[in-house]
Amino acid sequence: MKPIILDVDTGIDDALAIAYAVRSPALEVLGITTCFGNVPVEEASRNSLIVLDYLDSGVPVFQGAAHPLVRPYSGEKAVAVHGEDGLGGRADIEPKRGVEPVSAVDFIIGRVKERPNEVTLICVGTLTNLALALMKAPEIAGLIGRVVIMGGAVTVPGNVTPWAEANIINDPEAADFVFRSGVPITLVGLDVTMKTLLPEEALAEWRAKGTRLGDFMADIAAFYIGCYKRNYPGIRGCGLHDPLAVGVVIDPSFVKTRPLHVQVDLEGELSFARTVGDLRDKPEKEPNMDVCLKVDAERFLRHFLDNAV
Amino acid sequence: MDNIPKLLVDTDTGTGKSLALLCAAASGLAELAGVTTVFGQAGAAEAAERMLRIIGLAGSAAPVAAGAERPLFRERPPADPEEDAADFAFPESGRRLETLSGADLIVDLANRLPGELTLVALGPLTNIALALVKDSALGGKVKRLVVLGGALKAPGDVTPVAERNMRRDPEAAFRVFHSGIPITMLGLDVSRQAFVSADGLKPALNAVTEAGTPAAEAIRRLLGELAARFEGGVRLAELLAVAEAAEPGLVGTEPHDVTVETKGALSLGATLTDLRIGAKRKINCEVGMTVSPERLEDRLARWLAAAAKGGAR
Repeated sequence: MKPIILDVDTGIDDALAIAYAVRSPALEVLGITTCFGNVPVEEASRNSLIVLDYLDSGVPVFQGAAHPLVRPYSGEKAVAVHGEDGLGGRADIEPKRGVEPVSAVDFIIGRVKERPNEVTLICVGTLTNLALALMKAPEIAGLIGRVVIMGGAVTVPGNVTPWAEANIINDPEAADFVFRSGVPITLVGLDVTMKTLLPEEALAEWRAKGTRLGDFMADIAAFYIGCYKRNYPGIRGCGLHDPLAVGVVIDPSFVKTRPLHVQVDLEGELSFARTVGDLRDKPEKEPNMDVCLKVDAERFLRHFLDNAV
Repeated sequence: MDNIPKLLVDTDTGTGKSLALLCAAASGLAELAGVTTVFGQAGAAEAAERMLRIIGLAGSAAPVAAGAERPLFRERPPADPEEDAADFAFPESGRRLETLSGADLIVDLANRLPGELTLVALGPLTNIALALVKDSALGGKVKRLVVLGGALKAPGDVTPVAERNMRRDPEAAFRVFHSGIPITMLGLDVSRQAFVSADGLKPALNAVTEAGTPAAEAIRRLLGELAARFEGGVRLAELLAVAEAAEPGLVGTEPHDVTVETKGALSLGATLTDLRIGAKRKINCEVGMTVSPERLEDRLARWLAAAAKGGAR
C-alpha cells in the first residue's frame, strides 16, 4: 500500500476524492489535511469529517491554512459550484469527530520525516499547506516521495479566468513556491481532468447500491453536475478533477505525462495565475514536473465508479 | 493596374524582412505603395535607410518613411542576438526618405487609396498603433492589416508564450487588436510552417541565376544568408505574410477574439484568446493556422522568381 496524505478544501469533488482514496486497497491514507479554497478551512475540515463518517473511516483530519500566503483572503465560497455548505446541501449533519490537535503543516512535516521518500502528497486544493511545510522544514523537499497536484491548465483554458485554474489562482504564490522547490511533481490539471467527465446516468449505479454512502455520493455529484451544465452548455457531466489526482496515484497508467518546465504567472493582468509551461522545442530550463496531457478517461471512470462507493 | 494589390509594408530590419520587401517591390505581383520602418533589431531610421536601398534595387519609387524608434510606453528593448539585422552593404539608391513619420505615411496612403491598401506589419506594431491614433477611422479605410506576429495556440519564441514582435511592443499590439481594424494574424501557429525545402527552392534559384539583375543578386545573397541559419531549406515567414497580403487565401485561418498581455515579466506580449466552452467572443481577427506545404512552396518560389526577373537592370 502506498502511504499518502490527501490535502483538500472539501468541496464536492474533494469529497469524491476522499471516498476514492480511503476505499482504495492500494492506498494507505495517513491523514487528511485541510485548507481554505472552495470553502473556508473550518468548513473544509468539517466537510471532510462528514465524508469520513459516511465512509465509516477513522482517518485523522488535520486543519491547515486559513488564507493565502501573501494575498488578502476574500472568504468567498464557490457556492454556485459546491453549494452554500460546500457539499451541495449534504453537509447538514454534525460530524462524529473533530480535527486533530496537530496542524496540517506539522503533520505533513512529521509524516514525511518518519517515512522518508515514501509518502505521496495528493494536493487537490490550494498549495498553501505544502508551501508552508517547505518553508518551515526545507529539508523535507528531498524526503517527499512525490507530490501529485490537481491544479493548473497548461495546454487548455482555465476555469476561473480564461487562463487560470481555481486551485492555482486561490494561492498563486504558494503554487509558485512549490513548483520551484525541487520536489518531484505530477501535475494533474484541467488538461486531463476536463476529459474525465462523470455523466449523470452513472449516478444510478451508486444509488442502486442502496447504501447511505451511495446516496450521499450520488446527491453531491448530482449538484456538481448541475453546475457544470449551467457553466458549460452541452457538457455531458462534471469534471472529476480531484478524484483523477487520486487515480493517478492508484494507477499511473491512467495518464500519459510529459516533463515540462512550468511557472506560475504572478504579475500578469490577463495571464495572472496561469500555469505557463515551456512547450517550445528547445525549452530554456530543465523540466520541474511531469504534466499529465493524456488520460484513458473510460478506464479511469470505470475504476472510479466501481471503487469510490 | 487596378487589380494589382497595393501594399504598405511596415518593417524593421532583418534578412527575411529585406527579402520579403524586395519581392514586394520587384515581383510585379503587388504594387508597393509605401514602406514604413520601426525599431526592432536596429533603429527605425537605420532600417529606413536600408529598406530604401533594398527597394532601390528593384527600381521602386515607393515612399519610405522612418517610424517609431521605441515602443509606445517602454524603453526600446535590446536587439536579439539570435536574430540578424541583415547587415549587407547594398548600394545607395540616390533617393531620400520621406520627411513625414512612418505613422503619418500610413495615414496619408490609406486616405489617398481608400479601400485599396493592405497593410503588412512585419515588426512591432508601434507605427500601426500610432497611425490608428492619428486617424481613428483608419481601420475602415484599409482593406486589412496582415500582422506577422503572435502565437495563439503554438508556443512563443522569445518566451514560452510570447512572440518577438508582440513582446517588443505589447501595448501597441493590444491597441491594434482592440481597434476594430480588420486583421489577419500570421503568428507562429502558421509562420513556423513557412518552410521551403532546398529542393523547393531550386526553380527559384535557377530563375535568380538566369535573371542576373541587381535584385536577383540581392535575392541570392539574402537566401544564402537564410540558408546558413536553417537546415534543409529556408523559413520565409515574412514572404508568406507579403504573399498572403497580396493574394489572400494562401493561409487557412480561424476567426478569433485575440487580446494581448501587457503586464508581468512572464507573459508579457502573449497573444491570448478565451477558448473556454461557451465563452463570449467578439471576433477581431482571422488567425492563420494552416498552409499546404505544396501550395506554399509553389507560391513562394513564384514570388522569388518573379522578383528576380522583375528587378531593374
